[in-house]
Amino acid sequence: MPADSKQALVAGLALSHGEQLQRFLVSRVRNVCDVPDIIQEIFLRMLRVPDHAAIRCPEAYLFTVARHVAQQHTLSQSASPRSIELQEMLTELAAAPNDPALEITAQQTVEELERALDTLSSKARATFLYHRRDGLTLEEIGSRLGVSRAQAKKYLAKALLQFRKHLEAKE
Amino acid sequence: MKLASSHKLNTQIYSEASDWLVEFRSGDVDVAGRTAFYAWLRTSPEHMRAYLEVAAIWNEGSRLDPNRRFDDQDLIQQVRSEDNVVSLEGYDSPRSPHSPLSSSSAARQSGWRVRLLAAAASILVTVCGVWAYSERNTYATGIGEQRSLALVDGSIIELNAASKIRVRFTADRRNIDLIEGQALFHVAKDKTRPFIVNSDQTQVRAVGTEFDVYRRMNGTTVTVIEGRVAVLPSSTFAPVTQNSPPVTEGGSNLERAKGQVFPGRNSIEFPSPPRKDRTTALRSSGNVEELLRDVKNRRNAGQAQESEDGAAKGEALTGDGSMTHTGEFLLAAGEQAILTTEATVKPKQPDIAAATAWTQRRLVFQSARLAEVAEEFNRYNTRRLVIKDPQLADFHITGVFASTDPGSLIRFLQARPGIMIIENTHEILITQRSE
Repeated sequence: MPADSKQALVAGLALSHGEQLQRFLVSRVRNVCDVPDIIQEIFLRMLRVPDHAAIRCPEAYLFTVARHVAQQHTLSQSASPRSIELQEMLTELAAAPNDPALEITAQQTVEELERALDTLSSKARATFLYHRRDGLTLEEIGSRLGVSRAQAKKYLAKALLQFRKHLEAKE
Repeated sequence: MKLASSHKLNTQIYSEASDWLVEFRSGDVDVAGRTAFYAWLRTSPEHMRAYLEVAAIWNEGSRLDPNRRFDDQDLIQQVRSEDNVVSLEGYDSPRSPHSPLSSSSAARQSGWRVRLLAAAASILVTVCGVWAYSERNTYATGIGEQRSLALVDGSIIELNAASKIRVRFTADRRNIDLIEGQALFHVAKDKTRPFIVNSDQTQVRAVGTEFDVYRRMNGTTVTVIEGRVAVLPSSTFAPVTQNSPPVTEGGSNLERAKGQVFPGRNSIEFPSPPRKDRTTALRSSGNVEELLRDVKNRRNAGQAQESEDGAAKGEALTGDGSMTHTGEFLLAAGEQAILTTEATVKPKQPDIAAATAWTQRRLVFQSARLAEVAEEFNRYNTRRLVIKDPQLADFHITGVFASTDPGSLIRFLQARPGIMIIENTHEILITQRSE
């Protein structure tokens, strides 16, 4: 995994998964070499589930696993987790919901995404902003733009892909 | 295509990831879709990575353009003017196999997705969060299998290998029966509905916290990672506090099935003289009153029944006033309690990381008996470790092992003088070397 995509991944994971994971990953940005291990571990755990049909929501499951792996990683990093240290660590985690470092990373990403808005096709841009910024339903967007629901979904996916491309080019 | 093949592949993965994300976010994924998604996700770490990244962008999308640089008029006008010129569909990627506007080459790419998405589009399904109310509210894992469960209240249960739980949610309680094995609970906060784990006769009650419960043959170990839990050692003495709701409506199925009253785990000891040593311990501490009470207990127990456990002792303890049986005690983060029929022990410096190492498929032993080590490995491997010589059971092991690979343990044992390993297809026998 090249270093730049590692960075992108850290930023990506940090944005997507819960406060604890965010904090953890942000604190790891200085030590990016851990991230491929984390990804690998998440992947292995996804592989290990033999009865995948029983997973009600594989998407939620993925995020859950990701969170757990990060948590376990944090735990295993503390060399001798005596009760006091662990308690301190947890208190510390709970007490810092607005990590400035995290805010900076997230803010930079948002700024990049703002720039990427200009590179979207007009339909993709309209659909994405209506849905994510304004909270319109797919049906509402469809009637506003004169497209079907399925097409609206397609524009959403296109917007995502284009955002991703833009971030990748910037890394 | 002029694009390098790796880049092309990359784009395709991200394109599929985006499609999947939108499918999930629009609630259009059915059973077949979930299976297909899972298969897709497990194709490679790249797929998973792409999905996580795209999900992050999606989440962040709600923060975009807060100042409405693009207002409603702009957005619609841009779309109309574009429609009047040329369709720019697909300018940004060779993608969207299910798109009605997609090229024939895209349609060729993956027929299964076209079928899948056509099917998915026709049915609206709310996918997530129906675990606990399903008919199958008992969840089990086999040897070597681990599993995470998301409950409707937002709590997460990680179930270790060879384990089984039953979920029984009611309006005012969230009941979990740990029928066997071990589970790690990440409890969602809900003060009005306590989260209660029943393991054997032990009840662990939490409001919002994270803790691990391990039910073994001879007792239950409770380890608190975050927050605080209340442990009620024996549910046969449930009516001791007003705050603790009765456990009868099914939580005690197991007890009834076993048809016996359990001996009380009525004391917390630091560290843990086993029950039979208790008299001595008390004598040296000089607490005459307690000593007498203890002796009386034993006599009562002895009159009714000679055996160490069973109904008689339970009765004796019940009749012994509230002091020793109110029982309920609190465990805070970083604390652990080991409850057996003899006693309740709170180790002074519990190894919390070791207690949850199983979630990383690691086994951590600190001066553990070989018998215990073998029992642990046998939860993860179908080829069983068998100790042939009872003398070896007390051999002590310290170390960290991969739970699914007894190989390193075997090599370690083989290097010990006096130990011999005999392997066959379904067993690994540990015996004493005959010199």
